[in-house]
Amino acid sequence: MRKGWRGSVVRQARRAIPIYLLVLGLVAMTLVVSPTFRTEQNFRNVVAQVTPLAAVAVGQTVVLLLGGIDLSIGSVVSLATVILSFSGRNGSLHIGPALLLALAAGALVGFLNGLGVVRLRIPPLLMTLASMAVVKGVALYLRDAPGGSVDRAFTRFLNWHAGPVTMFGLALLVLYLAAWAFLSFTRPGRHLYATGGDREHARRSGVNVDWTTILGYTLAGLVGAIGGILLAGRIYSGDPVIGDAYSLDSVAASVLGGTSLLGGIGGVVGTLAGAVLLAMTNNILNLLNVFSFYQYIVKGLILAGALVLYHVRGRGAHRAA
Amino acid sequence: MPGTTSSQVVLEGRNLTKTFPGVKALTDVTIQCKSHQVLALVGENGAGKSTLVNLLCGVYQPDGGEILLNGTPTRVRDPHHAATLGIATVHQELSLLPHLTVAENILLGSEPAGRTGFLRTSDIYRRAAEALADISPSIDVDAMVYDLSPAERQMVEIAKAWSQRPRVLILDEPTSSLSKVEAQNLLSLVTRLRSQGTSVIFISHRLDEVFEISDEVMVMKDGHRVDTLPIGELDRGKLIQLMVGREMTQTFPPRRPTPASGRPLLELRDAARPARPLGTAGSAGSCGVSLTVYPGEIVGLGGLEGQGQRDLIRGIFGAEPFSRGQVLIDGKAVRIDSPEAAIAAGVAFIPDDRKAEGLVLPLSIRENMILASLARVVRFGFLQGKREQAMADDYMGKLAVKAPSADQVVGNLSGGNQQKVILAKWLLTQPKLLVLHEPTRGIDIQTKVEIYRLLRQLAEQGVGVLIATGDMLELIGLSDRIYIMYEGSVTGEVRGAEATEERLMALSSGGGTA
Repeated sequence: MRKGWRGSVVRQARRAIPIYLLVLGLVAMTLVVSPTFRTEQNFRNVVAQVTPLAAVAVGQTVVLLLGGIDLSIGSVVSLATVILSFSGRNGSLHIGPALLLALAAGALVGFLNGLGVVRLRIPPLLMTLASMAVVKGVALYLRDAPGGSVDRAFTRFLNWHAGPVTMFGLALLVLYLAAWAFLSFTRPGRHLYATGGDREHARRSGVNVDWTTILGYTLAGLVGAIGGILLAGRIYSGDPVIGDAYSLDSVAASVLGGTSLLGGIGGVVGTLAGAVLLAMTNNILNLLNVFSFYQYIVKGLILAGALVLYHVRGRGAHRAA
Repeated sequence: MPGTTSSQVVLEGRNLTKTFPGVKALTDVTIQCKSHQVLALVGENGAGKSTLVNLLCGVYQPDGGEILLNGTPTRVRDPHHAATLGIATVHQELSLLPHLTVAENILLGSEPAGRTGFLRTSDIYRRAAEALADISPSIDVDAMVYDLSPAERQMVEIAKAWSQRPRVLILDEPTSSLSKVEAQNLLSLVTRLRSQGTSVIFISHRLDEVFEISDEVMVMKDGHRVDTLPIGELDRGKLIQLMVGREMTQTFPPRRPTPASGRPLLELRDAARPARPLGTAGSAGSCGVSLTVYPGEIVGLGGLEGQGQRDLIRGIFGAEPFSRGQVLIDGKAVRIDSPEAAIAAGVAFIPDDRKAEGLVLPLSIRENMILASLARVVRFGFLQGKREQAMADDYMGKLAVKAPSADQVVGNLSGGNQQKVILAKWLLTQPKLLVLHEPTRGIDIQTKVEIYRLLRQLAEQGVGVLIATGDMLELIGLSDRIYIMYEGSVTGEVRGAEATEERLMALSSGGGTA
């Protein structure tokens, strides 16, 4: 596989170096400042906190690479937790069917998003804005307030840990490896980059851009549901609105990680760091007892700073081209 | 020699018709492509050449007529289907993805993958290298496409088509972005492919090339086929006559009788921009160029592609300002650090990439024309529709823009007409100095002639014209004075009347003294 490291894959990953340096710097700084941060308990905490967002952001990255956006992904997260919340005591579903149903629902939403974008030519922003509302409605219909419970055996499995190694961390690792391998080393992955880079050029090269687009949105919906399932493992229940913030936070994580909103540039390697940065900022500011409204401001400033950084570097790249 | 090997019809389009909203692009056109043959497709812009090609390679579906492959009626569903049928196309607009490597681009859409869907990366690079070896072995398959020069990109594009080992290879204006040497390499490649049996459709505005490599010539005009003739039965004059429908005796307007003098309109003193780091795109930068343009003269800027002409003229317009040196306009030193500053100083600039830089495609002719001189039609902050309309109509007439009305969307116009709209846009700003970069690239002969006349008229009114062009005939025929650039500096200055192709070539390749 050594040969597989050639080409644009490497360049795409290289874009993420600055954000990793930033995360490492932040970790190092906090390790010094905050004794609480150094504990194994807090490490597990950070991993658990970052997990749902980092998972969801994988799906968002795929769609952004296509040059699209998925605003419905947060609603899919909520819907998945709601479906799982019927699997606990007195629930009407076994955990197996509940999981399948959640994944299928996510994939279906994504598929319909893709279909709307490709066949009806609805701009992705509007298409997914519409499906965001519909899916949220379905979630609220199923459960109009937070509640229910998730199958005990399943939550116990998700919350398993041995030392610093947690099930959440392992799940995340598998998801990222799979997504990275898919995007970098498979035909559909390459076609995703090509379609996002220039749809018409890709089409003329024989790439089935419509199919690729539908595939991308479907994967995003599916991964959104995975994010919801992981989140349900943390809250042990269902919540019809808990996912709302994930739609935009996942965009933020992807962009922080170097994925271009214009499509064709970036990848999940950076997204992971982007999600970690966002989640850690929360964690650190919590540890430092900073009020939550300051936290929003800090998050916003980080995002703006990152965009400036990429923009400046992007201009450099253009000049070289 | 042409057509000596037994050649048979590989691909045939019979009575093809195609209509777009408001335009009948193609009417009852029949084309036959034979193996071991190069068929040149010529005609003015808007004659329907690209539409015909797009039908043959599946980009569009015909409204009438049929396509036959080896005698069998075939529906070419899409470009990918065309490729599997052995029809590969290099379109006029390049279709590479800048953020993929050369190899990834060449194999895009036909990547070798294992049963699990994983790419066979080593196969991709090997096959790309094989395809490139025939075309342009010096290009690195690992390079990112955004690092390549336009000429290199063109070669990669051709390698991409060639990698499919097509039976029919369609080249739509393949040489328009190439220098003479590179174009020559391409022509010899086409000849080689022909001898291996490939049927080539070759579209070019450069008639020399048509005469050099084609076996047959098909002439198109206004969406119809005028005639298909063996090259032996044609000469330049006859071909042009078939294309335009009338004799074209004089392409270039007469030069000014005496050298221009007085105070230079534009003077560059040792202007430079640092050359780019090695390994990045093709340009050599410009290092210390001094030149002058007098009012009333047309000055040509020539040389091989990528010798710094682009940087120089973009510097004059402030698009990428000079890092050192002086710019004097009307004898006064001015600091041009942005296009705004250049416009304020009376400079207008017509870029080479008209779609990306010259026009707002979704806007109408009128809106595009007025865009750079909005101040002239605004009163109390409101646009004055009537005045705007009058100005646009005036220039539609002056430049003979072919469109039903000034409200036509610019994106639907042919290349020649788009260029006229850009010219009108800048003429409306009443510039003292007009700088043009490849103003007639990809434009039909008739429109070229109109543009040449217009430029001469402007010069006669006292405007200074600086034109950077890679078209040697244009350079010699149009210019009063010519500067030639090589590796970022001016290697010679020649009076237009004394210029010969040999002399300019010598200067262009760094040899010879002025």
